[in-house]
Amino acid sequence: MSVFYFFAKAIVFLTAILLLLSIRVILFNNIALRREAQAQKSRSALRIALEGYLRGEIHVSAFSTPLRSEKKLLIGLVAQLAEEMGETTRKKLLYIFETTGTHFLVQKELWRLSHSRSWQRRQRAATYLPYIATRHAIIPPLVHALEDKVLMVRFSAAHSLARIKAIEATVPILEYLLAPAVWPAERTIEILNEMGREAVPTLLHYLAQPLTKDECKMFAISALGMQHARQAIPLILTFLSSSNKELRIQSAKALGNIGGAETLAPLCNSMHDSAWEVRAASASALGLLQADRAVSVLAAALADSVWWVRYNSANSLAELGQKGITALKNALTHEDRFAAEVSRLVMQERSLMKSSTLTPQP
Amino acid sequence: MSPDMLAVLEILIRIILIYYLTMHGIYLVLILLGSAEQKRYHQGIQFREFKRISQSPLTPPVSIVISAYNEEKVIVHTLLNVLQLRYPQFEVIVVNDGSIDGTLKLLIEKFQLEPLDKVFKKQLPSKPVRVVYHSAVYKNLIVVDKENGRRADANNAGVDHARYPIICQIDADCVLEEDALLYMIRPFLYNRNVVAAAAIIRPSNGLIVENGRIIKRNLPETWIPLFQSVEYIRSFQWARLGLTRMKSMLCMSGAFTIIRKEIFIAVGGANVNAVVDDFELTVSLHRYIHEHPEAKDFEITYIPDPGCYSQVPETLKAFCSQRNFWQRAILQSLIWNRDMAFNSQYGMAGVFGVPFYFIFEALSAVVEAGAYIIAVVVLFFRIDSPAILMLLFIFGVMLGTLVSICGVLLQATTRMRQERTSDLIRLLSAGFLEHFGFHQFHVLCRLMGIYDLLVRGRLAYGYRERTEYREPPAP
Repeated sequence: MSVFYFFAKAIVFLTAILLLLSIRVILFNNIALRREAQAQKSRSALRIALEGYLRGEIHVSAFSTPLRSEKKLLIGLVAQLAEEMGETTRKKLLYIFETTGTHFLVQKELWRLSHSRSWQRRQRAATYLPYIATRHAIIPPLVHALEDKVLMVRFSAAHSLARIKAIEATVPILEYLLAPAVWPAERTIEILNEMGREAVPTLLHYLAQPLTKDECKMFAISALGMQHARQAIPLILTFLSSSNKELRIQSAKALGNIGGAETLAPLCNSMHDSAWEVRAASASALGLLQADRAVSVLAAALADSVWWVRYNSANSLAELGQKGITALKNALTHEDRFAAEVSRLVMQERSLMKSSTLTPQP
Repeated sequence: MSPDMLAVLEILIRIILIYYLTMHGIYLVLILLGSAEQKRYHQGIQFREFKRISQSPLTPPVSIVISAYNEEKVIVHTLLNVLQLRYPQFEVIVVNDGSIDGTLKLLIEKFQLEPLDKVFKKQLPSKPVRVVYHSAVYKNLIVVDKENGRRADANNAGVDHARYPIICQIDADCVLEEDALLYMIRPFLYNRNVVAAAAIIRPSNGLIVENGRIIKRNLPETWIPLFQSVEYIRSFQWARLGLTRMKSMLCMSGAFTIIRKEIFIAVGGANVNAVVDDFELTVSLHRYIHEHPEAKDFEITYIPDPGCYSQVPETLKAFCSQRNFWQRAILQSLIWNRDMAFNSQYGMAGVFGVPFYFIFEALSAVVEAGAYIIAVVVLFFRIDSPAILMLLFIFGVMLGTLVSICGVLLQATTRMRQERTSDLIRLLSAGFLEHFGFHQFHVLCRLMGIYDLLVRGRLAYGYRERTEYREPPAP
């Protein structure tokens, strides 16, 4: 039993230490809460000073001393203000780091981005650099960070590049964020979308390259759709007949987002695609076009073999105004039971008709 | 007492001491692992990340399924809370599981429900649906009124009516943080292999809720829920996170789980024959992942952010009923899945997870009860009693206290620490006092659970209490 006695002594010893630790944590908790309150106070004071500077009421030199003493808070606060107040504020806030002796903070973050062994620090640097440093200083290291071995660092770098509209990084983003198999495509599309309309010419040029991978094409097509890039319509239309189903789906969705009369006929043709996902996407896209000419095609699709095509078609009809609603009403007596069911469902969901089901007494 | 009996007694004591040491040792390791994992999680969150997720049109839409059986006291609050979640696109499906109180009537009145001829593809087993309603006020709310089954049955019916690819299941007594869904969806956004996620759950008994919004996050006022708060910290916040790290977390709480619809359907949905569906669903997921080569990279993850608050029993009777129920659920599922134990085909879940849950969760009540019986025998026969009783006390009670206090202290070092020092003191006191009476009562309830399952074959929940949420004081 001697082993057990040994462990028993160890447990008693550990419990005693833990009890002492508890007392320390209780005391520390009090101190930590006070420090937190103090930090909150400093933060508020600094924020007021920064807001005064942004309004032009205070010169930056007037608060350079508190800035240096509160340098831990500075980056976060500047990022928050820039986020709340927009792009002009961001540029104005950058000036603070050049004039108040806090430029070393920028250098420190740049160093961290390239050299830190902790991926969290590299990620943090990639996230905050757009708020504290100028474009020309951060684009090369951020593009370099797109090759980081940790996905989240690459992701943060890509977001920051999109944040500052670094168009030259569009293609590297597409290619470096494509690599990991576990990475959902939507995240890359979000980043490209954040680039804004400035990225459209680059995306069009990239899309037109014959050697571009299909996955990258999908990202580009989706981003162009989200940007409502009308100049992309001719190019996207060519992908509507691609042999790759995913490309056809993304093209149909993008064309729906962009709109335009020239997309109507190709999208109506896509309603006869062999893949139901393409038909479903086309049905939703036709609803966005607001074109009466789509009514007959969508009405016919109410009897499609796949529920999602029927449902999307019915919803699109409901979006097309009186003619669409009339088509839905006509479908209530459709010889195809499924067409009638889905029309009834969508009309009820949109409060266009009441259910015939009696409300049971609860 | 004869020498043979004494020898047997000594062997039993040694087994029990080794058992205690191993169990609490593993828990301590899990708590430390969980703590490291939580730190990593919080460091990985980027500036304005949740804002970006909440504004992106590409954030996947979610169907929230709430099963409700006789929930008239809480359902309106819960729904108001859920409908105010910050999330780009979601629908709420309340499944009224044949309630015999005023749940449905209340829902119809408060949310202006109207019948809907909803067509749906029945893919999962559930009792017949009577009527589907949709709300004239909230376009993303539907209520499925069905015949009474159990929670699994209701969840299956809810999933059958869900239109989105991600399902979030919550209990009808849950209150969610405004950003809870954003926390939960985050791992799905960065890794397409993530198929399910669970999160920290905390007792809601001290919450102050106004029109579905959480105003204040107080600790429960009375001791019984406070003891459970410590247990939730130890279990939900730390141990399950540690177990997830070891790919052995076998219980995604049904109170707040998010799962891909296709995988939910692939595993056959919630098991309607199980005492409770959540444990069995998690084990089924592990089984599916390891039995299907195409699913081998799938992951179940755990979110160490407190997104959900759930009511814990406030009386001993309700507590005993709940723990009896949980014990039956775990034991039943482990018996059903016994082939996974020590089976390397099921990876860490088979080699570590199932044996761990069986030995240290399902059977711990039996071993602990054995320890108390031995203590009585030792006392009765006056066999070297002070030394043995002291050992049993140190290994059984003091070590358990050490683990609890460790959990509370670790929490105090994170961003989830208590806002008031008095609350920290109360939690530490509860962690200390829990093992002097309350824990022993818990053991008794679990023993009754084992008896109820193995001898009586009991599946029903039993006694349950619901209390209304505390409203803020009038100005």
